[in-house]
Amino acid sequence: MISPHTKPTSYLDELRRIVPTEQIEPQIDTADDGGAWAVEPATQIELVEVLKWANGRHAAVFTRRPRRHDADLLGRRPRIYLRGRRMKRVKDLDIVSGTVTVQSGITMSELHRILEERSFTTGFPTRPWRQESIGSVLAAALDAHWGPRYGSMEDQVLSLGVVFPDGSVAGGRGAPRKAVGPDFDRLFLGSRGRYGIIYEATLRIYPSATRVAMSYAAPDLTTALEAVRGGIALGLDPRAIELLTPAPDRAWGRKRVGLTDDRPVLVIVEPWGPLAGRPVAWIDNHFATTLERLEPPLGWNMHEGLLPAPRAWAEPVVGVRWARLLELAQQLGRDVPPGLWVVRMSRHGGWLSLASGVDGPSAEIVRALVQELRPAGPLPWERFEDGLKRELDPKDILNPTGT
Amino acid sequence: MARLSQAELIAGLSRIVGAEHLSTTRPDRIAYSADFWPKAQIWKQGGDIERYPPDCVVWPADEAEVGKVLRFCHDHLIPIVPYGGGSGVCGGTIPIHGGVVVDVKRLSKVTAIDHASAVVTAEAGINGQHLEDRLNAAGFTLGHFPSSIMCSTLGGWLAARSAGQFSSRYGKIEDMVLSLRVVFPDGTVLDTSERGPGGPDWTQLVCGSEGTLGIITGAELKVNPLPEARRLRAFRFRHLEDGLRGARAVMQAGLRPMVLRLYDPFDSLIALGKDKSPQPSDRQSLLDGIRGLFSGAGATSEREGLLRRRLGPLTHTAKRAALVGALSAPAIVNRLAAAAPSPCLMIVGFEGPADAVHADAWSAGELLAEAGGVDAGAGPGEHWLAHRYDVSFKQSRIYDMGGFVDTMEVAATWDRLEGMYAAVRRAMTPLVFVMAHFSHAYREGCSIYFTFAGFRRDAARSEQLYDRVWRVATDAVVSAGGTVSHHHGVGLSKMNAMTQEHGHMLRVWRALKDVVDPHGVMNPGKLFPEAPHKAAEPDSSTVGVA
Amino acid sequence: MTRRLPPSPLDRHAQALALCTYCPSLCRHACPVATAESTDTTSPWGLVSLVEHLRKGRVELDDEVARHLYHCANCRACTEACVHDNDVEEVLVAARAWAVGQGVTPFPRSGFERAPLVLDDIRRVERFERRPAISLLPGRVALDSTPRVIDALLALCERLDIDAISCGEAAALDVGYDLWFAGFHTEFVAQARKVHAAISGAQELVVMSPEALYTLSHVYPRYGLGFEGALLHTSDLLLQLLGSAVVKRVDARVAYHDSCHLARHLDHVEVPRQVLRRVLSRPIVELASHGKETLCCGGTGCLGTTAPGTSRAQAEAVIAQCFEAGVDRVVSFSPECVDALRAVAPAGLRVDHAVSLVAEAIIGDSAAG
Repeated sequence: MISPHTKPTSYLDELRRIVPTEQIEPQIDTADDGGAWAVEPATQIELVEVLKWANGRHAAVFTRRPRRHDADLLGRRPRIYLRGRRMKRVKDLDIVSGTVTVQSGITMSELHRILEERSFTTGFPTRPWRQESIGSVLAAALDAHWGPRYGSMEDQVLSLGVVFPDGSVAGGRGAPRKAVGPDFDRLFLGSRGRYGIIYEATLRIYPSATRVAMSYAAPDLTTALEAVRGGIALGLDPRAIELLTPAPDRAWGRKRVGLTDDRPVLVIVEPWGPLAGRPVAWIDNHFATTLERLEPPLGWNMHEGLLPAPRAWAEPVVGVRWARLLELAQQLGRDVPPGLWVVRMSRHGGWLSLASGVDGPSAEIVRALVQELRPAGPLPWERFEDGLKRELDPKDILNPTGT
Repeated sequence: MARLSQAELIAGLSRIVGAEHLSTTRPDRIAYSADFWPKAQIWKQGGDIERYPPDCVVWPADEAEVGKVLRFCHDHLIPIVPYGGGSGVCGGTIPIHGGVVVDVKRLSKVTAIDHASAVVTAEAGINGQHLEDRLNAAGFTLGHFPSSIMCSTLGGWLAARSAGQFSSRYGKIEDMVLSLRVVFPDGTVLDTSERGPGGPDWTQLVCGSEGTLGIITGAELKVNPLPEARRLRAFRFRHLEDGLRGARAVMQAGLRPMVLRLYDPFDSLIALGKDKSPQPSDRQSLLDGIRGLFSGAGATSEREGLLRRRLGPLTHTAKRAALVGALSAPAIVNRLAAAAPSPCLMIVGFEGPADAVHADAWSAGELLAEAGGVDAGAGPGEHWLAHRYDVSFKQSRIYDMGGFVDTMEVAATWDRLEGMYAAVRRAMTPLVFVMAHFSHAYREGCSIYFTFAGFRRDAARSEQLYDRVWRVATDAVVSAGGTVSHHHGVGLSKMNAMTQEHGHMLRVWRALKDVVDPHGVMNPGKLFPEAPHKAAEPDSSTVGVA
Repeated sequence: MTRRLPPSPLDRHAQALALCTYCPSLCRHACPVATAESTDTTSPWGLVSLVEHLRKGRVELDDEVARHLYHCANCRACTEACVHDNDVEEVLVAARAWAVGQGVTPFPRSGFERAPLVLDDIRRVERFERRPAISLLPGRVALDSTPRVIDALLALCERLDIDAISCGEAAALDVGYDLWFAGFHTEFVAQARKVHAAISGAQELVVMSPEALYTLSHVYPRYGLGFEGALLHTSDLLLQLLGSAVVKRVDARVAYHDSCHLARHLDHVEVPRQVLRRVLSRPIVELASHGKETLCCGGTGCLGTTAPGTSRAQAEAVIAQCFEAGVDRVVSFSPECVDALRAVAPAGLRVDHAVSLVAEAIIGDSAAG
């Protein structure tokens, strides 16, 4: 019988031939698995070689941190935990076109710092995921609060560079729009590294502008929604509009920002410099007519004080059209549950969610709507998605789910 | 499995759609044998009116029938060509392998207009103008005005990633679509509004698939309130690069003009209608000859008068002689056109709430003046607005005279735009007469719309020239770092550039094909060069490659 | 072997044919027939291309091919939409005549011929004259389907003391529009001569059917059979009459459906509306497609004979517009339109000839007290 450590050792030797030793960090092993290493490729070539190796060795490649049960699920397959932190180069900052091409390992804060030096920023929020890499944000489609002005997270991506499990590399420079077949990049946005590893992304960038977040308190959902809807109808086109009630365990935050029992609903508008469709004074005047202005205005990072951070948000988020939002507000009346969240509000609706641990009849009403709007499984395309996975990753090496 | 006989095919499909909604008649087979790909027009010129007739045409009544038709063809390995308006200019709906053309125009309902949310749900076969009319009556506009709006369908727009003339404000169709319904060959219906957690965005994977994955049966689209006000302005720039700088400044300032078009010197000449500068006479007559063909010159009032003016004082024969003369020496004409001391015309327009429109038009004016633009009033813009669809009419005149004309709409980021413009011109000018305008401007780049016209003595030679022009032009675009199509799609015409365009990303398409269309029956031989399956049709030698 | 054609009468239309063949069907949205049939084959582009292929001998003429050429309501919406002003009607009529000349008649001539009509009801009107000074030509459809409208019109004239008007013997004759449009030109000319003879001498001719009026005013002159007197449409007559009439306005939400021949061929958009405005107390409800953009109800162009299903579907589309407009009554000045719309109108929607509406409103002649 071969010693359980024989093979992992030779695996390690093989890996060392691909990436320098200091970029490999052995993970704690149990007795009989195939070995586990955190690997930090520093170049695209190293990444490709690691994947080729993994594909050849039927290893599992994770783009996340190790979990305790990984070894149990994968038996004797070696495991690679990819870390992107060495692939953080800004490859091209094109101030003429307003695009930036970066390697996927760069963190949000680093990217924003570099852009800020040149008076640019991205269409991504700057705070909530500052320690996440751009690659992980894109792969997870951490799609939280973008507004009508810049569109969704997907809209920020001009093109992606992707490495397939067999090591082939795809990707190119983006064009503002194309009509050359489907937008294949979309397969990798939000699919959590199942089909390929994003190694590079070209993103849209915008001139940085003084960020103003204006905040208002509303007595109920209907009033808040009507104010937002009215503003949009009159040409308001800001970077973001959100509407929320603080979670029950964030009572201190609620008090701090100045929300009361009479006015529990917070409306926050971020005009984003001069690009809001309407001047800041107009916006303030519009909202202050029916809502109460909160002074001083709150910073955009207020989620951290009022709601669980996006990363910790486990509840489903569903797209809701205006017609249903207004209906919901009618149903709720003055009884608005805490922990309610409507983000990415646009002319067509917004994205709704409710924090966990909120009870009561009003919370039930919201949950019922969320439930109704969630796709009812099993969905026909899950079959297709599994099929795509088999086609693109026949050995199931990328973020395998255990089979 | 043995292939079905024609009689079995007809019987099987008739059971699904009803005999009256299936046709094998000659007129139907001719009408559905081609779209408006200029190469097919050249075939027509040469007398070849049905190079690729379908075996039959079916008109399913609803999504369920579409599913059954697809399933039937999938089971019996019969090629399917989804068909909307047939207005494509890339050969996307030409049944090169015969089979069944599935015309979805009976699916033409506006299912719902959600006023509160500004969302319309419509079936894929609805004619574009009919959809816009319905929305207008409800106080909305889709904001999508392709010059084919009269003859194209919603499904076709989505399948080929169509763009309208107001795309700078409203986006392309893929920006407007919230979700769509698509039927795959095995009959499965996918409603992309139900996106699973951790799943890819199927809307954008189906959008642009040009019928190679399934048949789009309907969609939900964002709509916009009818604009309260509209303002058009025009500017003249001495140099093209000044105009481009101005266009970029406008877009990057975050302004959202509904239209922003910059014409190159010769296209400006035509857009302006008349050339006021004195010209040497030989050159003048050559230029006049060509301008007569393209131009929608002059005033906007009387149609009859306009038509006559467009035809000019020349007779048909004289015009033909002028065209032949001019297009037989494209290099010379191109040089003359380039040397014309004509400024570049830019049209910029805003629509929306009245005060926002005025403020934006003012801001844009400031930025454009700063870039060297000279105000040219509202006239040229209004003329463009009134005649913005006429360009498609003009093409038939050139075919009538034995020439051909096509357009190539490419796009790139701003940093590569001028380089691409020069490279494409360099590649094309020895072969055809070419002019261009920059339209569909975005924050990070812009599309260039090249119009080119050529002439050869007979259809076979024209076809050769046509293929050559496309080859050199797409090569130039790719080398210059642009994309070969901004909104016309790929079809047959740009298929050869797709490997350069996508590289290994084509693996995703092959995977998609394997998964949703394992028998390869959906619009075989289109979009991407290598069919993953040869099962559908052994005869690949006839694929429209000359 | 394709039939090599001698220089054919179609060559006269060579340029129109070519321009249309190479055009990407930019009038497609306007064609009610192609829309109702959901096909591109019978769109104006499809039909004219087919004619071009026939002209060039690339398609052999047979019944199946010829049958396609009869999928047109002659509503002229395509010509209105065309920047080249291509006259599809002219092309189709020429092509059909050419096909008939070749002996290819997918629809028998009898379907387009009308025997002299029975004027018994009309003769009962007291002032029947064989050759009246003002001759009323109701037309076949009015006599067949809505004879009471004719009564109403004549009664109205009587009430208003217009006594020179009468259905002369010409009223029994069909003007031959169907024969002409279907391409049976020899028979059409024979019929036209008869009609021309019967109407000659009248000072004014009041025509109820827009297609008949179009035939008399535009087609007859091409054969040297122009009418020397004044040609009027019912709406012209009514507008004159209403000048002196005492009117009790009808209080109803009424939509007006423009006849294609009236609105597009004859440019009669305003006169009918002026008449209606005089007798209605509320504004006329305009349908989504109205005036020169009117949607054809399939009642004309012999479509009822050559493509009855299509004709019906077109009428249903117009009815759908009536419902969208939220009216329970729609009127038209064309007996053909009224007939087509009535055939498909559900119980809740009343379709009337505009004359009936006017008759409801007019009390008498103001001069007569």
